[in-house]
Amino acid sequence: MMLFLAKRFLGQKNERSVRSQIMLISFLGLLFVSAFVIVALAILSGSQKVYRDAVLNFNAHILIFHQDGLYEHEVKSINAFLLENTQGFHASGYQYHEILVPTKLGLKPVIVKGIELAQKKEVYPLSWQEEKNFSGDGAYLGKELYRSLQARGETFSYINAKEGLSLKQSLRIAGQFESGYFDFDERFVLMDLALLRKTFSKAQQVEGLEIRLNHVEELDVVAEALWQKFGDDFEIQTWKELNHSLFEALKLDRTVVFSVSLLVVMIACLNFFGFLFLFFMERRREFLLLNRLGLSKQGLGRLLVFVGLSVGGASVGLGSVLGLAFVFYLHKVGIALDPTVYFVDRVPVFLEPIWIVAFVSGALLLCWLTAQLAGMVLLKDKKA
Amino acid sequence: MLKVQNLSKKFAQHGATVSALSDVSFELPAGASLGVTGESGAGKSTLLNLLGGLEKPSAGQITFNDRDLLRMTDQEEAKFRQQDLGFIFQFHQLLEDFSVLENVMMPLLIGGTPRQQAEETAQIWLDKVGIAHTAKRFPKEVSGGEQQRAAIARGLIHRPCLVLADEPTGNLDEGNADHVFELLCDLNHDLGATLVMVTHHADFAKRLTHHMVLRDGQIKNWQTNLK
Ligand SMILES: Nc1ncnc2c1ncn2[C@@H]1O[C@H](COP(=O)(O)OP(=O)(O)O)[C@@H](O)[C@H]1O
Ligand SMILES: [Mg+2]
Repeated sequence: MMLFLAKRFLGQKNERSVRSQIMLISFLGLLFVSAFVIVALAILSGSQKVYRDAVLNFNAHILIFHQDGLYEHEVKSINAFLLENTQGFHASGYQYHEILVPTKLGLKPVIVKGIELAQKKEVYPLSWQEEKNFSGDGAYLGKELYRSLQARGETFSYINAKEGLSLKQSLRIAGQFESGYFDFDERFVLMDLALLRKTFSKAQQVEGLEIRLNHVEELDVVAEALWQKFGDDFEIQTWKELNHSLFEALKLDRTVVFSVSLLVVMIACLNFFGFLFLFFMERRREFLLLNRLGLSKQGLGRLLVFVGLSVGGASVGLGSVLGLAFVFYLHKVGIALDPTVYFVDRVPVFLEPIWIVAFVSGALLLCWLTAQLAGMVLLKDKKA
Repeated sequence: MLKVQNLSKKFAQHGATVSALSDVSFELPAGASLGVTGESGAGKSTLLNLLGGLEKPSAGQITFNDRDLLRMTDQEEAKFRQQDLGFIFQFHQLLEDFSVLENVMMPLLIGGTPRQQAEETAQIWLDKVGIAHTAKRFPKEVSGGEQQRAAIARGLIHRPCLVLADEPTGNLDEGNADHVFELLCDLNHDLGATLVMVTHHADFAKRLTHHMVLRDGQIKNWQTNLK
């Protein structure tokens, strides 16, 4: 019965053009807002995920270092301690060196990071790619750096910053790595510690130790234990502390996008409220008549909620489908971005089903509340 | 039996109170028909609206078959309108968005009758009032007389025991008015319902079992017509 009444009242047989236009506007408004929110959520969480994953994979969970470096026996005792106090871990010593690399865009400062290459996949779960038919010692270049090399071959040229600008030397290319984060992929060269020491005549001790736990949940406990044991001798940092400002920034991003989305949704709902209000005002006479024919006030309220939910639901539903379609397009085809500006080379998207469910049910709840509110406002002075 | 006691209705109008109906009392036996006449502004519509529960009186009581019509919850009132009350309005008041047939079946739908059955019953009633050919048309596409007949069918389709009609022939030409009046009386007779009809045709009122003349909100004359 409700369906029958609602269908007729929403029908446009009688060319009430103003009503149908306003209806269309609020319908489309809610539709586009829904699509917008879905896409915004997808892009936001997509980029945050890329960013976060890249940063987390490039950096280890725990960093132990000292300004004079760590000696062999110190590394050993840390390893022994971790073996006892964790459910599994991988650690790699590291050392940094700075070089300049001629690229298509000119000389680029690059950081060479020496790591224990045998452990590379365990400590640094990046996407690693070996050069074909390569054997021996060589450097792994970040994907973007590799791409921007002036002359690509089996080796790449560099200038050792410490030795003056004129001395050009070269290193063999063992492969590439990709973190997904432009800054890392363009600024870093990874190689084995031994090669780093040999090439750049570095000291024998590592600057610090990077540790990746098999179970991240242990992080706080392990960090605390390390701190108790080695806190006086070394600097200890977890990735939470290390990336504190990054996470804060991500949180801020999220807050901003959520607030803007919320605001836009609210405006759309206000618009929708306007539509329902107008719809009801215009049909006051009819609703009153239905009331006189025996349709109770609750019945009228239900009718309005029905109208609100079906129109609102249809537009939120269609909007979400539209948004999802666009997200799917972004996922499959993608839109290219300038990586120097946006850290990534195309719009990243990521959506968890639960968010869609949450958004759609939230929007429907808002529609329902809006309808209830409009009904209440209008039924208040129904006696006439 | 319709029983009205000391019924009054005051309206606030531009700060002053207008007494539309004051101290009206009468009794009408079940199955009787009452014609209400009076000059424009005498309070006829007000009386009918009070009887139908569309407005609340300032004072007084209305009972129908020992039921207090003024002390009903929203639900009870809705139920009363669905089952016992048939209202035929002054300006026929059809729903524009619905076809004539749908308008006529509306009380049944609201009362919970299945669509199919309601449609069949409505078709029968359209036949009874002689406008079966307008079933699929919309109110704007039929004449005033046809609209009024549809309104009558809609007022009676759920077989109410109290029928209130406010100038059902008010905006019809002479011949049509006569037809519609006869029709309403006949159908009402078949139903055995109590009828209260406002009209400005005194001779219509005289053809009903009772006749009330209102003036300035008061009963000026009450007459029982013996046939
Ligand atoms: N809603 C209202 N507000 C204020 N005054 C009203 C209202 N309805 C009726 N009246 C007044 O009450 C009196 C009786 O009106 P009504 O019952 O409509 O007369 P009738 O139907 O006999 O022509 C009139 O003076 C009219 O102006
Ligand atoms: Mg009147």
